[in-house]
Amino acid sequence: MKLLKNISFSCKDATLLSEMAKEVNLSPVKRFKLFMHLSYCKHCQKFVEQSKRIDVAMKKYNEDLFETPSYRLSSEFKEELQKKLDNGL
Amino acid sequence: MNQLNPEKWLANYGDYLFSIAVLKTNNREVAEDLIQETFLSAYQYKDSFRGDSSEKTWLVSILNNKIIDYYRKKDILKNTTEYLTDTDQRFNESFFDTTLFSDAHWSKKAQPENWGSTADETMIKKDFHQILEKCISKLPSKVTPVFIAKYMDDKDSETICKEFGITSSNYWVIVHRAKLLMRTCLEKNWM
Repeated sequence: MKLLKNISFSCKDATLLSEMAKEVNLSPVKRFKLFMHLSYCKHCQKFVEQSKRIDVAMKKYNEDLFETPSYRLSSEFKEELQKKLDNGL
Repeated sequence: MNQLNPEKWLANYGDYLFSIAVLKTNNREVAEDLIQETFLSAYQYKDSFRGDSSEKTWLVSILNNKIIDYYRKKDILKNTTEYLTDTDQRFNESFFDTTLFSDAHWSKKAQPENWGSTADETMIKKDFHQILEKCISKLPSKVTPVFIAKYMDDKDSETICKEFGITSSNYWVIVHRAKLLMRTCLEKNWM
């Protein structure tokens, strides 16, 4: 059991490191452990794959936000603020 | 050289900036106040605009400064280490099973399900935006700033850590938590 712990790590660590690996250069040891873990753990494989999909969806969401803002200011708020700004001009 | 068109700001950028503010604060009233402050500041300092960035980028950066001030004022970024330590066990228990083995593996109820072959298509459609927003709004208040900054500010982790005054290891713990929470929430609300 101890040997197994030394060459592998938990799903918690694996999911954390898989997020870090997208931006940070992991040490060769960590990279190898992550690779090993992902080679047999179906759950973490799914997590990694779905996490990438979430990244893509968030990127798209952010790109679309200007054209299609999710939240809108009320027209009363806009009118009032416009008045304030006009006075300040 | 980029120029400013102050008379069109509210019409052109009002809802966009408001959306950013709502996502980052999870509070419409706070977001309205921040928008007002942003436009008033922008008007006041419009002469300092040098034109090396776009009008949109300039306004977003003013808003982001206001939002960071708000985070500071509300202590949202304070005591991050204590927060993460205090909530560590409860958080882990909701995703990982530490009793069966000495190491943490997915608990049965938290294991990722199959998302199916249409997931990629669905996830970039506009309808999906509402589900994303719902899940973002459910993130813990100490998790939201990092998660949103990571995806909306186009900044690397080092810059975000510096701006928020948090350590790199706390940053990754927060990103990890946000991802686990978002994944579960999306799966529940859409699968």
